[in-house]
Amino acid sequence: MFATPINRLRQRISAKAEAWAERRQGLDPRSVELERRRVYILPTQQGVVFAALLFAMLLGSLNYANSMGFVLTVTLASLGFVAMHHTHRNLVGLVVRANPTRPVFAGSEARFTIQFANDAKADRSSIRLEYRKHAHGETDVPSGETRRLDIVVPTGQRGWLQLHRYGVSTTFPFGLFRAWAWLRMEQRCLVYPHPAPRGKTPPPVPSDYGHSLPDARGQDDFSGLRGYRAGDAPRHVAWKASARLQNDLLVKEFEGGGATTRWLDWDALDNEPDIEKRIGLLTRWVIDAEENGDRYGLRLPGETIPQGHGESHYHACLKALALLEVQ
Amino acid sequence: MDRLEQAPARASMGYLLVSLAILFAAQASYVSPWITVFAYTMLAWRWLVADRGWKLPGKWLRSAISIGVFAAVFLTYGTINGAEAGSALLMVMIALKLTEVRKLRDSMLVIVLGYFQVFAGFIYSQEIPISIWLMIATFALTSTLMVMTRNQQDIDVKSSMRQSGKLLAQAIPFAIALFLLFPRLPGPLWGVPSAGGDAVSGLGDSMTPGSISNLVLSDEIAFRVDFNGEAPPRSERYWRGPVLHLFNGRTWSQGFLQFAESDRYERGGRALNYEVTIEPNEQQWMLALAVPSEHPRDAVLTRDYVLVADKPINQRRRYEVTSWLDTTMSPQLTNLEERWALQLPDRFNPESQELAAQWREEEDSNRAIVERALRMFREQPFVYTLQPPPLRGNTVDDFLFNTQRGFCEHYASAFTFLMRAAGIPTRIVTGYLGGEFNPVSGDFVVRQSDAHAWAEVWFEDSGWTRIDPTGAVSPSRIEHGISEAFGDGENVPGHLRRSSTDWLWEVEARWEAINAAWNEFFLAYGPDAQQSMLALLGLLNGNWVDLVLMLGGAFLLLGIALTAYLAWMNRPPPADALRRQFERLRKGLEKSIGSGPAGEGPRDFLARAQRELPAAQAARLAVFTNIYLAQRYGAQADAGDISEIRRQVSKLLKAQRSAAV
Repeated sequence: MFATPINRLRQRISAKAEAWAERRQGLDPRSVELERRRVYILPTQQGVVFAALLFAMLLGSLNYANSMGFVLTVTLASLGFVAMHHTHRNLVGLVVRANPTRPVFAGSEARFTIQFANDAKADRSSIRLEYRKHAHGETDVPSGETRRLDIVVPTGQRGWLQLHRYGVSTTFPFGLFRAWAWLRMEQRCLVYPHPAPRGKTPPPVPSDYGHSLPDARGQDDFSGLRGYRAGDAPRHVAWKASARLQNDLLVKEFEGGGATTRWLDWDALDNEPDIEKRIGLLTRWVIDAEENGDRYGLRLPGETIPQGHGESHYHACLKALALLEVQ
Repeated sequence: MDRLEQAPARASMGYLLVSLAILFAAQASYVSPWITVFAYTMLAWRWLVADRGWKLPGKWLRSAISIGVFAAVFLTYGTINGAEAGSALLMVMIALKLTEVRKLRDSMLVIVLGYFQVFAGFIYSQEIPISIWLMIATFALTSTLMVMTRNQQDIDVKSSMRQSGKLLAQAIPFAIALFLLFPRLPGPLWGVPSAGGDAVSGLGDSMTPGSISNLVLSDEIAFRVDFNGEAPPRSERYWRGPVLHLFNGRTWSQGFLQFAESDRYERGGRALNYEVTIEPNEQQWMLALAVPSEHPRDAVLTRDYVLVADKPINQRRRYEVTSWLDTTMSPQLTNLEERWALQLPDRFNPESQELAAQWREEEDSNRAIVERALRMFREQPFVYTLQPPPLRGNTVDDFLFNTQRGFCEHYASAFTFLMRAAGIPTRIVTGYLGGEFNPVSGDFVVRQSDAHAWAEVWFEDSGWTRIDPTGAVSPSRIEHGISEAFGDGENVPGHLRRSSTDWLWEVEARWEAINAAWNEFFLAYGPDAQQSMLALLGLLNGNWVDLVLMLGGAFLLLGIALTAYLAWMNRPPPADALRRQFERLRKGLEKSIGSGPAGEGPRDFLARAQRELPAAQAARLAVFTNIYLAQRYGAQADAGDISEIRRQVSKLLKAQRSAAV
């Protein structure tokens, strides 16, 4: 697009229109059926070219009193008219839901999954998901079925990443008209801090903090196998034994609770002045500790997460780091 | 907007190329062969690009090819105007555009050009076969538009065609309303091009030996006539065209009186009303029987009693004429007219002049001289033939005294020469004689092969009087038409050998009747037809405002129907329909078993009804409950078909009602 006055005008008009629609519609619940009043429709660029063609052919047919030319013109015009209604119908009544998002680490892509459900008898074709002027996939939604598309957004900062207004649109069947609806749902993705590089600053020695196990042999004290549970460290998986089983993973279990116990402490990183780097280091430690199968706790300014391990503990720690605010 | 920047999928490209191949086939019949070959080559090559991933040519190569091809089109046609050159130009434009189709946007433009190419095809010809083919191409282009809009890697061709077919079917009622009611213009907005492929060459404004016999070789329809009432016999159906006065020894041409309006004749005899549908011929003659005194306002009746349109007929047109068959043409002759009707080149054909002078001396009246001439044609061994030997020197002498073989133009020419030499005002009339009745359409078809030339002699008591010397030589030409007029040895074109018992003739009659109906009711649909349609509806002085109002009304009604149909397509899922059936059942049954506690769920209600209904209905209810629960909560809760449920509910309610009574 060139920055011609016309384009600038167009951008201004579309910005105004979007703001108007947003005021009109407000915030949507997480599941919305697109009603008539919120589905907008306008001819596409291609539709305008098509209309120009029709006009030229109309003049030609009238001038030459050419009946077949007239038949062609009025057939195509009627087709465009019918197609406009179909384009509109293709979108009206579509149910749009926002699926829960999974947290991601800063720097990777956040994925907002939007689900389309078609409760109508007729199929819906070529439904497109748009976010910030970019298409994020296109799908058919057959009658009675649901389909998903993802809005993929690159992440930079830790914290909540809010999904802004997005569009659901279609130009089916002929690309002459574009029907669309704007949606804004309270939909956000938790962005964990970007972890510091692996192994650069090792976590403090366990014995320095709190009580560590009296027996330094720790985890080497193998006592048996058990089934895999979420949160088990990969290095505890008994690969050889698991290979003999078809679907299950086995995990080595160790005598006496076996794991190292440590505190990951904000204040221990006083020598790192940059707050984000400090958070990155703590994030790295949390990841490593979880992988090692350690028991770990997190001490942050204004918040302390007691020692523990496993998936929910791990995510609680990362969430605390993601949302940490330091004056 | 970024959608149009995508590259077309290989399958979409293939679909587009096939549609274009269908489209080009319609044009192949009339554009120069090299253009067709070029266009199909480009299609094939573009497919290889899409299929094998070949590279598209660069900008310079493309420009070079384009310039070369456009120049070649110009050299082939000498113009870029007109239906043929225009079609050719569009065809190469589409073919060249294919070399730079990288994005969806480009392929959409190709489709738009394709539609325009269809339009150019209609400008060239609206004959039934080519029209059907072009509409097929339109359909192909339309489904391509859908395929391109979806731009998927895999195309279900059948479903694409079905979907676009459905849309087209829904568009047709709107299209019919637009076709019938969109106000048409009485005249063109700008110049109308020559009729292109539909034009047939007809009678010229002059006559040389061979000009009529060449025309006779053509099987084309010149015009069709629909008589209101009884048709005159074949020997009276002389359709008058240009009247020729001037003779230079070889060519007969019109005098300067051609466009002067006629003012002196008295109608006589019976009036004959008929409608003529004339094919475009780039001439102005509107052929009619003598004397067409009631005629369309845009035509004049000349001093020669020929109907002349105010502009060349370059489109098929239908006109209504009333002729008074026994009108005396020009009871008085002005000096000027007499001079023209006696004009002869000096010192030409001395033998004929001598013969005429001899007749003048021997006979005492003009009529006797005319009779003498006709007797000569009858009694001497004159032959009526399409292949006369060439005439040399004094052409009339050579013909009369040497070859004695000729076609109507030779006889008319020689006769007129003789009469003028004898001092009798005579002129040549060209036109058509006869015409074949088509029993299917009920009208007469007059072809170029019915072209004819005859003479008119001026007598003091009867004005201009038709004398046809051909009749003296070959009476069957007059009585039975040209196909009967030649001897067995004559080598004549096949269409002149047609006999009316032939099955082929019958097929042709049917086909021509269909064409006539097509021309009359469809192609000729215009402001006049709209006017009479309004009159039929009781709007005698209807104008375009009425048409627009009716069109608006039609669109409103059709639009409501379409919206209702689409809402029906969007109707709630069958699960809700299931619920409605349940509610219907509950409402019906609660009349007898009473309503349950507030918030009673379906399961509770069904259990309660099961207990309280009589045994027979309870058994039915058990059936319903099973289906209902299976569809509502069961594993296969797809609920495709609720008709079974509906049937069960109806039976139950009916049984319950009859039990209650």
